[in-house]
Amino acid sequence: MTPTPAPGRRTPLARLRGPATFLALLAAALLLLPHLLEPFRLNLLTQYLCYSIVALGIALAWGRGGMLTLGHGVYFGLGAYAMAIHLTLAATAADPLTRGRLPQFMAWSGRTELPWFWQALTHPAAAVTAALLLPAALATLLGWSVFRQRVRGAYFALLNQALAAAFVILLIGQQHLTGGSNGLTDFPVFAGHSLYTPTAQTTLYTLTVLTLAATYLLLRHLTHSRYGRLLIAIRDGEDRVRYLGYDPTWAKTLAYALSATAAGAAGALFVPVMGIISPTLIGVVPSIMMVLAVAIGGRDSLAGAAAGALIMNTAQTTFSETFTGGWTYLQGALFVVVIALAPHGLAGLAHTARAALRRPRTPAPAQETATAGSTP
Amino acid sequence: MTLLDIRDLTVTFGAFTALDHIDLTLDHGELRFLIGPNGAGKTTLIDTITGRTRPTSGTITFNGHTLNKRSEHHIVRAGIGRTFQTSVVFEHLTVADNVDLAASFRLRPWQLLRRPRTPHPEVPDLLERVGLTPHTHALAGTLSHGQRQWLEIAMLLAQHPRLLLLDEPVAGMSAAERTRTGELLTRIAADHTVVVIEHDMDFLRRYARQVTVLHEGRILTHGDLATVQNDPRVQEVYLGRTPQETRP
Repeated sequence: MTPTPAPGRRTPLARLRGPATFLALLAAALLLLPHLLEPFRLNLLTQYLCYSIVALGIALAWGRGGMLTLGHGVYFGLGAYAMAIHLTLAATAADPLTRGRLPQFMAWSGRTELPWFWQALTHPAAAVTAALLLPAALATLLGWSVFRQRVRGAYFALLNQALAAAFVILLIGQQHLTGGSNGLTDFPVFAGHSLYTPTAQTTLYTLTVLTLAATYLLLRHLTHSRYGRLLIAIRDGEDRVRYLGYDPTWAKTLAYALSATAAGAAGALFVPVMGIISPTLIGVVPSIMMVLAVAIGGRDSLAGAAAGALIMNTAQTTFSETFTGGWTYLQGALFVVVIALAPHGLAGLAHTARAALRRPRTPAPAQETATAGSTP
Repeated sequence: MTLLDIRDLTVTFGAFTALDHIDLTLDHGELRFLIGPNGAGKTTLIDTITGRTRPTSGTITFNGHTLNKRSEHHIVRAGIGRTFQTSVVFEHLTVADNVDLAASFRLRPWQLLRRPRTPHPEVPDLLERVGLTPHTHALAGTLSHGQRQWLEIAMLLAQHPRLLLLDEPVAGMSAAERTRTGELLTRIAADHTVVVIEHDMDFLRRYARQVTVLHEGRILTHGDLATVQNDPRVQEVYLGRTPQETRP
């Protein structure tokens, strides 16, 4: 009953998709790139891949579920700060000058003991767990209360944006707890291992690639399930979905929480790679950039979104190395071009190209499959 | 045996009374046509039954359970399905996936998270019933207006509702499509309880048996088609507004 196109009919571009390509890319990323790239470039690539993980989550929440989330910096930041706090504690403990005392910025602001949420992150496992669970919990709480009240569209986007702004204000205002606008920096050790060796950087890179691959596989599974179709249905007609007997609240909350968790994981990986986390990295503008990358890559496609983040961040580095300041304008122009000419992003362009390649070789394959389906 | 029992139902929007102390009962297996001039409250009545609009006062009892204050999806799960005046199908899903999603609404969330190996077993049969088999794998966005209405009916049937509420199923359809929809309706009515809102008098003459006439939020009269047509009050309501055609 389910006619699949015959293998011979598949176009070169269509053949590019699939498990073989995925494995080839994964193998190349894990085995080749660490040897080809100098450590500085590998470090940059790892940062970009962290943003790709965020992009995957946004592609689920926004691309599938229609939830325009302009505040994913918050979830990225929660993961990042959970990890950064742990790393700061580890650094303080490892340094003979400060051993057994408070982190320097805290001591300077007159605190005499560690706040409870710092103490809770002393163990590496606790930090990793918190980096995943805090974003999930906040997104679930926010999502559930907001989606239940049927807040959506621009209102939801603004609410997210406000959340990002408030989070930054909180971080800067609570300097004695968070490091303020300087953020947290200088992370030499994690779980007893030095983070400054080339091996550590390669390990972090490998971990990031594996997290990206796992996130991709999980979300890909979801988008191919009935739940994935339900998300599309909610995006295109939330009220109609209610009359199919589904409650959109849980479906949306789940997608939103998963995408927040992905951002949290990315944040936790980002901190030891980047070596610093500060409010400027997670505020309103970075949050918009995260969504922008997904728009450029193609929000309908997981792979497109991940590629979009990679491309946009690479372009940012390349162009700002060449002509400083010009990047902002170029980025704006790029965004206008994509929205005007390719509203489905780069993935949409690839899709169009695939369809164009298919047409001349096999006349109207869609009709053939349809006829095949109707004969019992 | 009573399936739906509406008692003293009133719905007001600010100063405007959309439904004014309506009493209506519907038996198992009935095919009921709901007619009335524009603004008579027909769609409001369906909206109120399905939880889209909250009653100001009165009760709606379905199959022995009161529906007041229950949310839309709970009412669907209780067994009431509806279509809309402007058909809403999910354009970015295939025809089969639209029906499959409708048929899967009783699955638990974790069951929805699994990757389906085969579509819901009833999908081919339902598409056959509404004549959409050739379009099984087409995106629903590519369907014509009439086909969308049939897809909606297939989605509705996939949910095995005890009561179907169809809001103007033939509006905007060609003559051929109307005939086909009428036949489909007759077949569905054989084993379902159906309420149809319809403006189209010709369609009414061909397929209606029991008719309820709404006017300005009240029930004007009720009976078989011939009785209702000969009722002077009905003639006045219709002819007094727009001669011959009921739609402006």
